[in-house]
Amino acid sequence: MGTLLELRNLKGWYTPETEVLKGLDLSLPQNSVIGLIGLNGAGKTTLMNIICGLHKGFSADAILVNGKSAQFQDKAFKMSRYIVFSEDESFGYFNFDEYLSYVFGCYRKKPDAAYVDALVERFDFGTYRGMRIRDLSLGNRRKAYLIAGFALKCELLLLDEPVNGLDFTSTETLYSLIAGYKQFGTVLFSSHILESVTLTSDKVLVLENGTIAKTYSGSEINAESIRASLGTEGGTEDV
Amino acid sequence: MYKLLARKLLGDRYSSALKTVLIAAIMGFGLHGSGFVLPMAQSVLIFTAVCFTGTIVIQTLSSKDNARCLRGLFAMPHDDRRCLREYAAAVGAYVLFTKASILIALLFAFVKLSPTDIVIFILSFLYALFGGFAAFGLFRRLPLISLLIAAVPFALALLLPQPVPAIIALAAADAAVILLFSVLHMDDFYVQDSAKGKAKHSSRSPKLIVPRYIIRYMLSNKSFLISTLFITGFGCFFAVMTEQQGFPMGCGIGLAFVSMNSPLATVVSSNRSLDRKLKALPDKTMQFFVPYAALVFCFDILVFAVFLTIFAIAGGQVDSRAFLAAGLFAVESAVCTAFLEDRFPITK
Repeated sequence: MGTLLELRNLKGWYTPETEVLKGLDLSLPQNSVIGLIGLNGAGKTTLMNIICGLHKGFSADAILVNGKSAQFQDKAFKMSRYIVFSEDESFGYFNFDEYLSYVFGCYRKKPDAAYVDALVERFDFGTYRGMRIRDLSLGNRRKAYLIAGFALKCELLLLDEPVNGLDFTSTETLYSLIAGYKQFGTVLFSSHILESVTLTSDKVLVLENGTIAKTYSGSEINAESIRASLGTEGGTEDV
Repeated sequence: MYKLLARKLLGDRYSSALKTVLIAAIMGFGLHGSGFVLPMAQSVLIFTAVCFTGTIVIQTLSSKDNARCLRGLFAMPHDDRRCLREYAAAVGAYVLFTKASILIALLFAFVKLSPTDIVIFILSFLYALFGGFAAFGLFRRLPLISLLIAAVPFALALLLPQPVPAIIALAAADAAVILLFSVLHMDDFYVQDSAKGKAKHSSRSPKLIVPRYIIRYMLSNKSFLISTLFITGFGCFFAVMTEQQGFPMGCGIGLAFVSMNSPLATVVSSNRSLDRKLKALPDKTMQFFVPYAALVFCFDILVFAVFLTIFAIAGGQVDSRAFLAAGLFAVESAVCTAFLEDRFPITK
């Protein structure tokens, strides 16, 4: 299995005095599920935004996409990734089908109608697909963006706190879709819900103080050891 | 309350306000040196100050972004009178420093203002601020009073051409709107989200989706359409008055004024999430901003057609140069709007 994205010594900041990411090394294998877990303020969203080319305050010794040097803003890299943000109020005047049509137009792809319908059914979203996105509840809005993300089948799917706002059954559907995404590409998803990474990930990265403090893979992935590395034994309500 | 809103509207440590004032000062002094002087009647000055300021006050009060900011405040116990005063102070400072400062710079650059004109401008600004608050706050309960507040400056400008009676009447009008403002409550300024739309069946492969999106954006914000009509009406009035005073480019100036249609030019600036999503998705220029520019062009042509019709009815001269100017302004407006929203959206 090759490496889809490799970052070396990535530093990220909002002001030069406050470094959020402090020399992070990251390697995302092709066709895998990577869970990124950390407490609030650990830098999960900043890392996602940097990979999406949205955050300008960063430096890296190397950015390699499929082994070749690249930039986050490169068109080819943009065409190979899609992000679902943790908070999103964009394209509120579109309904789901219009949003889907717009997004597929950007990626110069045609949606697989049967697959989209299946995703809509699994997320129990059929009643809402004709409604404007701004009129949807937080959870249904999240479903619209998630369905678009899974339907695109990009090489890299980034999900920032995807579980937030979803009901119980939709959360289970999401876990199953994340775990099954390996046939299309790689998922990097951030969460502060421990269950979401232990149930789906091939590799779990614990982000702490701007670096990858610990990496778990295979049988090492279990709630107790991750909780211990986060220093939350005895627990907070989130993890 | 003041700090919360001032930070939001004027930037951290008043950064965006200071930047705009600095730009306005440089622009004002730079253009003043050109020696180009435009005649401006007192009525046009009142119209300019009230329409420009009043439109921005109403837009600020009805902004969804502000509503979100105020929602947290409404959830907590608060001193109603003090909050309202501080809200007016924050909005007033925002309008004065970030918007009216540009107008003041242009007036300073191109119009020879007497002390009387300056007094009229200040009174008109105060009327627009407190009148805007009063009209907005009373609109749900007493819409006729709101309309009356909007009509008063027009009546004053047309019926009182002499400066002293105009100043006395404006001062009285200011006192009246401040009195109305003083009986309002913060609840009157709570902006609710619009009613949720019903699900509609739509095509699975819809066409012309970006124009459809922008048209819905405009139709969902009625104040944007009203503001467009207002700007068009004011542009006509300004153009006719300018031509009547012997200045031959009145129609062109009116078209330029109408082409600065801020509601349609802030589709991306008004939504940070949209700006972020457009940046994250590939091919934003071709997929979003080219159709956006095309729609702005069509919209401008439509508005210019209305403008030229009213201008001709009001006695202005509409010839082939006016049609050519309309086409050029529509192209300029479409290209500049799309370019600025693509590369430099104003997302606070």
